[in-house]
Amino acid sequence: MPDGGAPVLDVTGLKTVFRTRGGEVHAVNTVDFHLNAGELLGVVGESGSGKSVTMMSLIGLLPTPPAEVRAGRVMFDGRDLLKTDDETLRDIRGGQIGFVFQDPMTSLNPVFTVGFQIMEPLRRHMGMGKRAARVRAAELLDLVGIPDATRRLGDFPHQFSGGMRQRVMIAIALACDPKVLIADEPTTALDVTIQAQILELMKELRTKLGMGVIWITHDLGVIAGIADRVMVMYGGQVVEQAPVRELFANPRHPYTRALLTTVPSVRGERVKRLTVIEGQPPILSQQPGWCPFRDRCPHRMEVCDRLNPQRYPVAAGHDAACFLVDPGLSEDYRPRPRPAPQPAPQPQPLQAQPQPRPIRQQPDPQPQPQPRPVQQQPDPQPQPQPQPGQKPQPQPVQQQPRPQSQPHPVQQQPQPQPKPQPQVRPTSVSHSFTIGGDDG
Amino acid sequence: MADGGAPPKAPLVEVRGLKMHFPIRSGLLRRQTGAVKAVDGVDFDVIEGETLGLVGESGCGKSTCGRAVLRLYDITDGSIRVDGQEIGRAGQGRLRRMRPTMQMVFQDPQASLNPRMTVADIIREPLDEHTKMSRREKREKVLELMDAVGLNRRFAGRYPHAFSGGQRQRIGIARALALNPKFIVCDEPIAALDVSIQAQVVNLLEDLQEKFGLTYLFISHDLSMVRHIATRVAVMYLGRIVELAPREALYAEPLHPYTQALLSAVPEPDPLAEAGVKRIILKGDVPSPANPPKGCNFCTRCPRVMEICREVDPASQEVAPGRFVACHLYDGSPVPKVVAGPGPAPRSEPQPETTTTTAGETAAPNNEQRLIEPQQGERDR
Ligand SMILES: Nc1ncnc2c1ncn2[C@@H]1O[C@H](COP(=O)(O)OP(=O)(O)OP(=O)(O)O)[C@@H](O)[C@H]1O
Ligand SMILES: Nc1ncnc2c1ncn2[C@@H]1O[C@H](COP(=O)(O)OP(=O)(O)O)[C@@H](O)[C@H]1O
Ligand code: SF4
Ligand code: SF4
Ligand SMILES: [Mg+2]
Ligand SMILES: [Mg+2]
Repeated sequence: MPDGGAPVLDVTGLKTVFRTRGGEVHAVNTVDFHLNAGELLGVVGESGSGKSVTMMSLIGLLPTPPAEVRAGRVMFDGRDLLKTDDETLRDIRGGQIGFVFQDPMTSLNPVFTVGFQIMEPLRRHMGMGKRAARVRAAELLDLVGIPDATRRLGDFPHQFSGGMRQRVMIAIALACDPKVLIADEPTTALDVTIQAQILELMKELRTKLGMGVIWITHDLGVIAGIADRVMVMYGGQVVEQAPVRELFANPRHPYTRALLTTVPSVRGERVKRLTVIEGQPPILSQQPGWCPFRDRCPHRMEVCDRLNPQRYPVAAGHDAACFLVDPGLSEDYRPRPRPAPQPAPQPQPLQAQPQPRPIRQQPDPQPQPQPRPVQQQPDPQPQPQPQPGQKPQPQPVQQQPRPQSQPHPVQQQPQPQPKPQPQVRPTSVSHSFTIGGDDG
Repeated sequence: MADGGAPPKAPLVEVRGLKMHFPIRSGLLRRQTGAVKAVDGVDFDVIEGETLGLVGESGCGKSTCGRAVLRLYDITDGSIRVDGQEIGRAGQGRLRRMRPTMQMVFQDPQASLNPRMTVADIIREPLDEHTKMSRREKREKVLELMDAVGLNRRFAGRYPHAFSGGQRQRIGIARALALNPKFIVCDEPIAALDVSIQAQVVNLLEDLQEKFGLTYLFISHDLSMVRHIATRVAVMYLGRIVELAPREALYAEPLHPYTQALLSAVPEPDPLAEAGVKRIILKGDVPSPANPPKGCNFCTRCPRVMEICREVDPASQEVAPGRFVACHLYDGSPVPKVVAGPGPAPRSEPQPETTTTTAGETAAPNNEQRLIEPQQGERDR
C-alpha cells in the first residue's frame, strides 16, 4: 500500500518456503510492503514470525535449498531483485543495500583485521584504491563513534567489545552509501546501555545520510523510539502496518493490541498483573486458509476459520489483516476517533489462567459466530486488571482446528476425550516451537 | 550486620561480604596469574516471602552471585545464612541436607533438561534423591506438580523436545518445586522466551509464590520485568551491588549514577513518552572483572565522577531507611545513619503508585521521605 513518496523498495506477494524432512515450512506467506526513501520501517513480531526470512529473501541470502522463494516481486532501483542474476545481486548487496545482523561476532571474520573488512566492500563496490579505501575506512569508524579510529583499523574483531563490533558492522554496512540498510535485531544481543549508544548513533546517522532503513526487532520500546512506520508480522504474514504513533495509539489487530499490553515498562504506571497472550505461535506447515492468529484470538469468529483475512485499510497509511476491521463485515470495528486514554474496565483479560492449551481439544461447546466486542480501549498503556480477589473469567478458547468451511455441528455433549494418539513425531504445539526456536 | 528496627519479617537469606573469584591460569604450569572477580563483596538479605530482583548488565556477576548463594560454588569469602543456617563453609554432606530448602530455575530451559528423560522422570528426580516416598506417592506428587505449573497431566510421558520454550520452563519450575523449597533462585527464567510467553511464566511464578509462600531471588537484565515482579531490587555493577532499594523508590528515584543511566537507557514502549525520555548515554564499556579500576568500579564511565572516586572505593551506606547506595555523592548525607544491614524494607503502606508523566523525569515518591538529590549537573545529554 504505497503512500506518500516513491518507495525505494517495493515488495509484493513474497512467498518463501523451506523444504525440510518434516515437510514444508511456509515461513513467509504473501508479504507485501514497501520502504520509502529516508524512512525507518520497524518490523516486529515474535520468534519465527518470518521477519528474518522475509528480509533475507529480498537480497538472496537464503540457502537454496532448503529455502525456495516461490513467488513475489521485489522492486529496487528499477529492477526485480528476484529476477536478478547472482552476480548483480552480490553487487547490490553490500553496495546499494547494506545489512547488519544480530550477532556481530559471527558476522565479522575473526581472521581479518577490522580495517580490511571495512575496506573490502569499498574496493569491490566503489572501485577505490587501497589508500583511498583506508582513509574512508577510518572516516567510517570515526562516524560510528569508535575513538582513535585510524589506529584501530589494524585490530582484530576479538579486540573489540560487543557494542563496538556492532558499530563496526554498521560501518561496513554504511561503507558504500547504501540507499537501503537492513538491520536484523542489531541490538538484541547488547546490554541496554550499549543499545542506547547504538540507537543514538542510528538516529544521528539517519539524519546525516538520509537512507531508508528496515529495522527488525522484537522490542516494542526500540520501535517506539526509532521507527517512522511499523509493520507487525505474525505467522509469516503482515498483520498490521501503520505510522508508529498511529500504531501505538490505535492498534487494530488483536495480536498487536495484545502485544502492546504484554510489555511492562520501567516508567509510568505499574500493572498488577501482566496480560498474557495464551497459547503458542502457529505451525507454518501449510498455507493457512484461516486467520493465523485464530488459536490465540479472543475475538475469533466463524469466518476466521474459513478465510485468511486480507489487509483492510483502517486509517491513512494504516491497515490490519483482521475480519474485525473488514468494512463489509462488522460495524463495530470501524475506525473511530481516538477515545480519551482513560483506563477502560477490562472484564476479560485475554487470558487468565497460565494453562497451556491442550494440544487437541474436544469439540467446542458452542461455535460462536458472533463477534465479541473489543473490550479494550486502544490505549497503549497496560490496562489495570480486575480487582484482586475477583477471579478473572477464563475464556472459552475455541481451538479445534476445523476443516475449512465445513459447517460445524453443534455438539452439546462433549465427547469422551480423544485418546492421546501415540505419536512419534512431536505434535503441533511442540513442533511449532522446534521451529520457532528460542533464539532472538 | 545487626537487624535494624523491628522487621515485620525475618530475612530468610542473609549474605555478607560474599566474594567469588575465579582463578585465571596461564603459562605451561597453569599457575594462577590473576582472578576474575565475578562477585567481589556483596551484602544483601532476602526477606521471607519477598522477591528480591537482581539486575545488571551481562557479565556483572548476577548468575555467579545466585549460584554462589546456593553454594553451587566453593565461595572465595563471605558468609551465607539460609533459614538460620550458615552454609558459606558447609561441606557437601550438610549442603545435601540443605538442598531441598533452596532450588534454582535456569535461564535456558532447553539445556537444563535431560533430553533422554520424560517429563515425569525429570520432575521426579529430586524426589528419588532426597525422599523416601513410595513409587505411588512420587507419581501422585509429580502429577500434582504438573497441575501446579499448568502442564497437562497427559504430557507426563513426553520428552522435553516435544515442548515449547515456555512449557519447558514450566517443567524446570515443577522440578524446582518438588521438594517444597522455601527459597528459589530464578536465573533469567524468561530471557530465552518470546515476549508473549514471558508474561505467562512471570504470572505463573507469582501465582506459585502466593500459593506456596516462596521467596525468590529473581535475576534478570530486564528492568521492566523486575519492576513488575520484585519487592526490592539490587543493582549490580562489576561484581558489586551499587544500589539496593524497595522497588517503588528505586524506579521513581534512582540514586546511584549507574542506576540512573541504566533506567534511562531502557526504551519506552510508547512513542509519545519515548520522545520525552531523557537519556544518559554512558561512554564506553564495562571494564573487565579481572582488572577492575581503582576506587569506584564505575568511575571509568560515571558522568558524575569526582577526584575521590578514582582513589577510594565507596562503601555501601543506608541513605534512607531501606535504601543502600555505594557512591561518594552520598558521603556525609544528612540522613541519619541507621545501624543496619541491607535488611528489610520498611513496609510502606499501600500507596498509590507513583506516576511519572514524562518518562525519565522522576517524580518524588509521595510518602517516601525526600532524599537529597545530588546536584543536577550534566545529567542529561
Ligand atoms: N533453514 C530453515 N529450515 C527450515 N525452516 C526455517 C529455516 N530458517 C527459518 N525457518 C523457519 O521459517 C520461519 C520464519 O523464521 P524467521 O527466522 O524469519 O523468524 P524471525 O521472525 O526472524 O524470528 P526471530 O525473532 O527468532 O529471529 C520459522 O518458522 C523458522 O523456523
Ligand atoms: N566458571 C567461571 N570461570 C571463570 N570466569 C567466570 C566463570 N563464571 C563466570 N565467570 C565470569 O564472571 C563474570 C560474571 O559472570 P556472570 O555471573 O555469569 O554474569 P551475569 O550473570 O551477570 O551475566 C564474567 O566476567 C564471567 O566471564
Ligand atoms: S478476529 Fe478473526 S481475523 Fe481477526 S485476528 Fe481474531 S481470528 Fe484473526
Ligand atoms: S563514587 Fe564517584 S564514580 Fe562512583 S558512582 Fe559515585 S560519583 Fe560515580
Ligand atoms: Mg530473526
Ligand atoms: Mg547470567
